[in-house]
Parts: sequence; C-alpha cells; structure tokens
Amino acid sequence: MSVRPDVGLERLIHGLELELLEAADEEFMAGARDLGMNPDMKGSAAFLGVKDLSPQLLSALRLAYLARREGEDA
Amino acid sequence: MQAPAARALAMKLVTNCDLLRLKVIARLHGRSLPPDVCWADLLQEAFARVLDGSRAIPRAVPTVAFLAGVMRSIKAEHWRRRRRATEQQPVLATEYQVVMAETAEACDPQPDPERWLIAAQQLQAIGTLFANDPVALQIIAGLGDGLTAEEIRRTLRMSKTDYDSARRRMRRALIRAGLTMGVSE
Repeated sequence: MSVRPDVGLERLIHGLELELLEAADEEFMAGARDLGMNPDMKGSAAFLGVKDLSPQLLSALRLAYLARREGEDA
Repeated sequence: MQAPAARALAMKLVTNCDLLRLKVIARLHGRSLPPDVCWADLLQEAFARVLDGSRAIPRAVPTVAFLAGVMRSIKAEHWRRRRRATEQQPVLATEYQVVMAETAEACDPQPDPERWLIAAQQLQAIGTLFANDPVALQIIAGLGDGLTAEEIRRTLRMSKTDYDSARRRMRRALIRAGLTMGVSE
C-alpha cells in the first residue's frame, strides 16, 4: 500500500464495505451456519451485540437518561 | 431496554439477514474506531439516529446501505471528538512525527497519531485474515490504494472469473470474522 495507514485503512474498509453490500443474503446465512449458528433461531449467537445492548452503550444510555431526568426535575 | 437494532427489526425496517450484514459491516468499521468506542455502539447509534428521525432514509437509498453510511459518518464524528480531546499531547505528537517521517508520504499536514497506529495494526490484522490467499492480499493492497475493482483486475491481469472468485473468498472470510468475534472486539 502506497499511502498512510489511516488513509489506506479507510479506503480498504470502504472497498470491502461495498463488497459486503453487494453480497447475496445467502452468503451471510451460510456464513453463520458454517459457524454452527442458526440465524433463524431466536437468541442465535449470530446476533450477539446486535439485538442486545453492549455494556458501554447501556452505561451511556443510563447516564443520558439520568441527565435528562435531572434536567426535568430542576 | 430494547436495542435500537432490535426495535428496527420489530418495525420491519430491516430483516434478520440485514442485521447479519450490518453486523459484519459494523465489525469492519470497528477496525478503525477510537479505542473507547466499539462496533456494537456504532451499529446501535446508527439505528438510533434513523429511528429517532435525526437521519431520514432517502427513498432511493437501500436501508442497509444508508445505515452503513450513517456508521461511517458517526465514526468520523468520534474521531473528530477524540482529536479535540487529545490536541494537548505534544510529547506523543513529537514521537509520532519521527515515525511518520520515516514511513509516510507527505500528504496530510496533521495526521492523527493514535489513528495512524490503530490503522497500522488493523491493516496487519486484515492481512492476517487473508494470509493464505495471495490474490486477496493483492486486491486488498489495491483497495487500500483507492483503486476500483476494474483497475485492480487490470493491474493484476486477472480474468473476471478469477477476480470474482477471489472476491467470493474474501467475502466469506470477512463474514466469518464478522460473525465470530466478541462484542467489544
């Protein structure tokens, strides 16, 4: 790569993102099944971090909620 | 509390398969996030902005592509915020400039040292992902240089069939990596 790493990485991510946007649905389903996951099942590990909230985000939401409550109480 | 992505699914804004696709894309963007933000936050924030109406999906743009664009824009916001917060670190900046002078072309007057280091590590990590696929590594180098698919194919003198086959292998590896790793990675 002939550019700075940060520039190269962003370009690479953009190029790979386009690949992923063009990929068929079946490629994702097959990818999950290859890993032993069943995306059709409720609570499938394939959706870890997607259908649930990360601890960091939960904490940020709690803080935002408390700040809003305090603003309303004041 | 329901995650914004789960809410979007319940509202039929996206399908389960869209969520898998977006997870893999978020994971990819997660490779160039500041250290205090994780890919799952990026993904949920993008959904939250669409759901609260602060980012409206244009009619002509597919929802998944739009959400990917929102993630890109949120990532840039995080870096801007991070840069403002770390502007007062002259020692790190000085050390970084020494490294930069040896390895970089002079194209940006003030690159972010932290972002530079994270990017270098992640480029290496992506390279490891395709270590057994020399063709994929060449394609990656081309994408990093900003070449289009057609330009890469021409430069590598590859047939369309071989190129498409390499792209399929790359997608498979990305999907596998994107669905395997943990939440905070």
